[in-house]
Amino acid sequence: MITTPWHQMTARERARWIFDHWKLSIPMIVVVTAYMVMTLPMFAPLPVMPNLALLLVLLWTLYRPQQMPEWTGLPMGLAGDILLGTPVGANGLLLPLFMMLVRYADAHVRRASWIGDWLFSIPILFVYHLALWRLCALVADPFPFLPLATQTAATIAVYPFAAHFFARIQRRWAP
Amino acid sequence: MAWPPRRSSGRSSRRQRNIALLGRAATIAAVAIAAMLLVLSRASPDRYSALRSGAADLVAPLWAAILVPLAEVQAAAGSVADYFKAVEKVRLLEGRDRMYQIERERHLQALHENRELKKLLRVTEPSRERIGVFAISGSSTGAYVRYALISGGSRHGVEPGQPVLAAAGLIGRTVDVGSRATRVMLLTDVSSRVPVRVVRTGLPALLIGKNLPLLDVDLSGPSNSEVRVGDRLVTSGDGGLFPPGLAVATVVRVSGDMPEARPATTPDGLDYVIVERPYMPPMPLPEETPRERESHPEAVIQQQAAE
Repeated sequence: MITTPWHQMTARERARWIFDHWKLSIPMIVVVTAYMVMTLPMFAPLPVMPNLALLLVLLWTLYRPQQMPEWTGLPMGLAGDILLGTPVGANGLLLPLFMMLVRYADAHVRRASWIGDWLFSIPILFVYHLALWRLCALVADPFPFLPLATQTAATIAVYPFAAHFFARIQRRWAP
Repeated sequence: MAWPPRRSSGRSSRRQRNIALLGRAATIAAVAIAAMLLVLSRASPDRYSALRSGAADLVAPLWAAILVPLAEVQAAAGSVADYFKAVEKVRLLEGRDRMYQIERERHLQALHENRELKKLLRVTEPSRERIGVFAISGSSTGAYVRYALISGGSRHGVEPGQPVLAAAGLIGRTVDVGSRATRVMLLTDVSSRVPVRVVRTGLPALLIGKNLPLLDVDLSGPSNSEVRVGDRLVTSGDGGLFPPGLAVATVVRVSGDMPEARPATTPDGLDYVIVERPYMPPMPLPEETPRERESHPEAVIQQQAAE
C-alpha cells in the first residue's frame, strides 16, 4: 500500500517501494510466460495446445480476484496477441470482458467442489473462444471454427493440471 | 471461492470506495484502448509487424535451446521404429527399384534432350538462389494463424516475402523478419494463396489455406480444369515468388464444392528448411519522386502580397 503520495517520495523511497511490491506483478508475469509456452513448436494437424494463459486468468479471477484487476487484461492480452499472431487488440479487448463475465457468473452460480468449478469453466471458456473467433473473422480473414474448438477442448481437459500449478504458485509466491 | 471473501454487508471506507472507482475507470479505459487498437489493426494489419518480429526474436532462441534434446529423442525413437519389418521393407524397395530403373533411364534421356533443345532455342531462365538453411525453432499452435519460426533473420539476408522450402516440397513464405528469427506463413494459413499447376493436365489452379489440415483447390480460373483424387499439384511460378515445379500438395478429396488437397510436407519433424530468393522478383517500378502539391494560384498571389 502507498502510505506517502508518490510525488512526495524521494527517488530512493520510490525504488524501495517498487522493490517491495514487485510481487504484485507475478500474475501478469505468469500469464505472459504461459503465452510464450503456447508458442512451443508442435505441428499437429489441428491445434492441441491448450490456451494456458486464459486458463490461468480464469483461475486467478475465480480464486484470487484481488491479485488480478480487470485492467491488467489489456497488457496481458496484447502480449498474447503479439506472440500468437491474433489481430492486435483481440485478446486485449476480450480478456478484461472475460474477467468481468467470470466475476458476474461466479456471484450467480452456486458450486460445491472444484469439480463444480471445472464444469462452470466449460461454457465460459467456450464463450471466450467463440467470441475470439467472431472477432478475428471480423477484423482479419474468416476461418473455420474447428481449430478453435479443438483448442477449447484441450483447454477444458487440462483444467485440473492448471489449477494444481496455480495452487503451487500461490503457495510459493503469494503476493 | 474467492479469497479474501467479498463482504456482502458492512461499511466500506471512503478510501476503499475510491480505489474501487479507480479500478472501474481503469477497466473501462483498458477496454476502450483495446477496441481502438483492434480498429487500427483492421485498418492496416502490417502495423505491428515490427513488434511481432521482435517477439519472434525473443521466443525462437528459447525453443531452439530447449528442443535440441527433444529432437535427439525423436530421432532415436524413429530409428528404433525403422528396425521393425526391415526385411519386408527392403524387399519392397528392391522390387520398386527394379520397376523404376527403366523409367529413370527415360527420364535422364528426356532431361538431356530438354537441355539440348533449350540450348538450341536459347531459352534464358532466371536462376534460383539460396539464401540459407535454417532450423525450425517454433510454431503457432493457436488456431488463428499457421506459422513456423525459423532461426534465420535479417542478419542472414532473409527478407519478407521469400519462399521457404524443404526437400519434399514447399513450406510457405517468410512474413515478419526479426534480426535473428523469422516468421514463416505456412501453406495451411488462412491468408496463404499459392498458384499451382495440376501435373496430369498442366492446367493452373490456386491453393487456398483455411487453418485446417487440408487445403482448398480453387479451379475457377479461366481454364476450367478438373482434378482427380491423387493428382499432384506443383508450383506454377505465377507471380514470380515460388520457383516452378516444386511439389506442393496432392488432391485427396473431390466431393463438395471445392476439391481438397493435402500438403506435400508438414513442418512436424522437419528440422531444417531452405530460404530462397524470390524466383522472379517483381520489376522495380520507375521511382516516383513525391512532388509537392501545387498551391492554388490565388494563395500564391496572396503569399507574394504578404511578402
